[in-house]
Amino acid sequence: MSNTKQDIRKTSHNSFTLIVNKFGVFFMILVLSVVGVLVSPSFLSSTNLLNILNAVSYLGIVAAGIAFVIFCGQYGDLSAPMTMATTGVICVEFMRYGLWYGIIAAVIAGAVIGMINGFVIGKLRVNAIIWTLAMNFILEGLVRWSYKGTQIYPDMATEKTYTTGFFLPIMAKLDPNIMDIDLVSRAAAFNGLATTYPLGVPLVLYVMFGVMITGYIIMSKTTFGNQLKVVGSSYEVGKMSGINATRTVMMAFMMSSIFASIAGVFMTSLNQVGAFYIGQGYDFQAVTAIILGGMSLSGGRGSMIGVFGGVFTLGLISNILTLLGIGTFTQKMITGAIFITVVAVNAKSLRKLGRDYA
Amino acid sequence: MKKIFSLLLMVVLVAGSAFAAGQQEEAAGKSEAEAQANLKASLAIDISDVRGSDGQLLLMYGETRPVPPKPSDAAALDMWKLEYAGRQTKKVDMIPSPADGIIGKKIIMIMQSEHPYWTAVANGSRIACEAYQAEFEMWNPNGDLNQQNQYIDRAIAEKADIVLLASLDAKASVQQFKKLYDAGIPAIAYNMIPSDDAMRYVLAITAPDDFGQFKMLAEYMASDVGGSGGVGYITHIPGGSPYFARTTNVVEYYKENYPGMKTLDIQSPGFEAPKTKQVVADWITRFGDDLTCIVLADDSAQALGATQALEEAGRSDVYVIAAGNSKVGMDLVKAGKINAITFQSAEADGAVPIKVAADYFNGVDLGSNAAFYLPQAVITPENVDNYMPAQW
Repeated sequence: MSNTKQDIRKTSHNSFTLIVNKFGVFFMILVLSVVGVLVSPSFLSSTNLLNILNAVSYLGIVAAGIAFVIFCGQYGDLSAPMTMATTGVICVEFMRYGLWYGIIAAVIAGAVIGMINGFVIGKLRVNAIIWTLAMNFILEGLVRWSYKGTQIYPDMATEKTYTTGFFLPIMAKLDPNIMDIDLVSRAAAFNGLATTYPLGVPLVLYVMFGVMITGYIIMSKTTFGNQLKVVGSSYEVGKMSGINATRTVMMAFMMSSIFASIAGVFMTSLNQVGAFYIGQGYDFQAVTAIILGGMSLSGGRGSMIGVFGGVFTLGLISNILTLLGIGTFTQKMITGAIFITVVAVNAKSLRKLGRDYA
Repeated sequence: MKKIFSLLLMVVLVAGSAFAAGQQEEAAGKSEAEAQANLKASLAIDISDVRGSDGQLLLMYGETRPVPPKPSDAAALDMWKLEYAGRQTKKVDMIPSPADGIIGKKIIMIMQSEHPYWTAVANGSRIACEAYQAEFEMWNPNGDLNQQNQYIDRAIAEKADIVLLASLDAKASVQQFKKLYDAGIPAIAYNMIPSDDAMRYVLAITAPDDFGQFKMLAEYMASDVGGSGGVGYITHIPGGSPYFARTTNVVEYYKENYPGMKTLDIQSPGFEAPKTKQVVADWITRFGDDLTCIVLADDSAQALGATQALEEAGRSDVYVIAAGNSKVGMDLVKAGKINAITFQSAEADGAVPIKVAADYFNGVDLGSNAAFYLPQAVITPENVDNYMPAQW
């Protein structure tokens, strides 16, 4: 006689439940779009839709990265805000050699931060929330200490500029000529990143779609994506299946930090200043979008398409509520209510499908 | 024998006392003379050309607006209380000035947190202290109220001559200022206006006159656009004094003086460029050509977001004003993307309390409800170069 307890909770595989489960967030987008059309005739104009996408493009890039972390069952990456700030500052430092030097330095710095996060969490099994929060504090302290409480402008260098920062004092020692570089033209190129519109569309939007598509392919079409799913569903099962779970978790955190560094570069360009406060709040906003998009915090379930849906939904809500003339406080309450509703409906549909164990 | 010994002892004691008294008198006379000399030297210090890193004069007071009578209307009274906080507080007897000069005095400045603005504030204080030849120490609690309270205790233990305090908490400031007062240390509240209860123990307040300068900026915009238009407001953090000074204050000013300046919408997207950009883009969709003016509570991230949304929509006709004179803000003014910003010198925010401290030690009567505001100005494309380079 078997001692295994049977799950006797009621399940139902009707088509509505399946649709809600698969396309929940897009159903929400449809409803919001109908409301939008009723609110303003200009709602469906290309300008308005582009504005919505543009506004959430930075969030989209960060969310695409954190989605990897959540997909592999690690709850989130709370070091994303300071990764954005730190890599933005590093980009400004290296930008004086050329824009690409700045971007590459920022991405490498992001990868290193992610590697440290991933190693500690994957190898030592430290709680991801606690560790990444600690990492956020460490990075904040580092930036503030290195810059002595000031901020760095891409186009400005005073006598103090080359005595503070991460790499500037080293650069000045190795290459004294660096102080004579024409910063104004380099800064114009850097600041232009956030205000470049190839074919009338903001560059950052192309980047967001590029990042999301890359993320989608990695997550859904590669062996690594499958490994993420398995490790996300059960770390131990993944390990026993022969997957290098430490490496998988490390890669997920590296993806998160690399994407955060890309967002950090654009955000720093948009703000025209490198500072410790760039990117604040993006961690929780990204998690909100990811959960709205149907990704499970417990890992192993969800998709990059859903993440895009979550990000777009946040943009839509804000747009429609502003068009309705609703103030910021009410907007926050309504966003919260929609968030709870979507999560509840999703959870219920999963329950009905008998998938709430995953 | 005993009597002779007692007599001798008495003589020695009397002579000793007389000598000690003479010495003390001499010392007091000398100390008084030194104090007078110090005062004379302090008063002789020429501060007329002490300038900040932007080349602006640092040690001067702005205009202190007279306090109008209390309004009877409840809403107006709330605004009045915010705008003139601490200006009519019944204070305890202030610690009298030693009137022995600022030179050599130990000034301890306790700030709020680490931020580029505060770095510039500290820079202003340092420049001022160097000019006055005063000892200066700056302590930063980094946003931690407990740490700030510990610094108050430390300032008392170190027998500071005066403490400049930007309290982190209006309620806690009552105890902080009372503690300093009870220890016999005069204190100046700078950067922010403490609660009325705390003001009872405060020697003087020094702060930017946010309400006054925003009235000035509002007036500048209204006269430039002919007194009519549709205005969208992006606010500071709701509930704080800058929220009322930079939004409600302007709305009320227009209601009273320029009824043609209609409020279209008020939004609080925070200090984030992408969110501000979305709000302004949404306004353009919603109000179209009716949107003619934008009032921003910040000239950095908010200004960048707003100006980019306007640029993308090709709306160079919208008049934009903002608070502050950061580098980003001044660059935008110079580029013609923002029409005007307020001049709020961070360095003066740190230097003016030092000037007040100097006046106090130099025996100048500060008055019972001393309030010293920072100099005000409207920065426009025509005069922006005078304010460059930026302080932070």
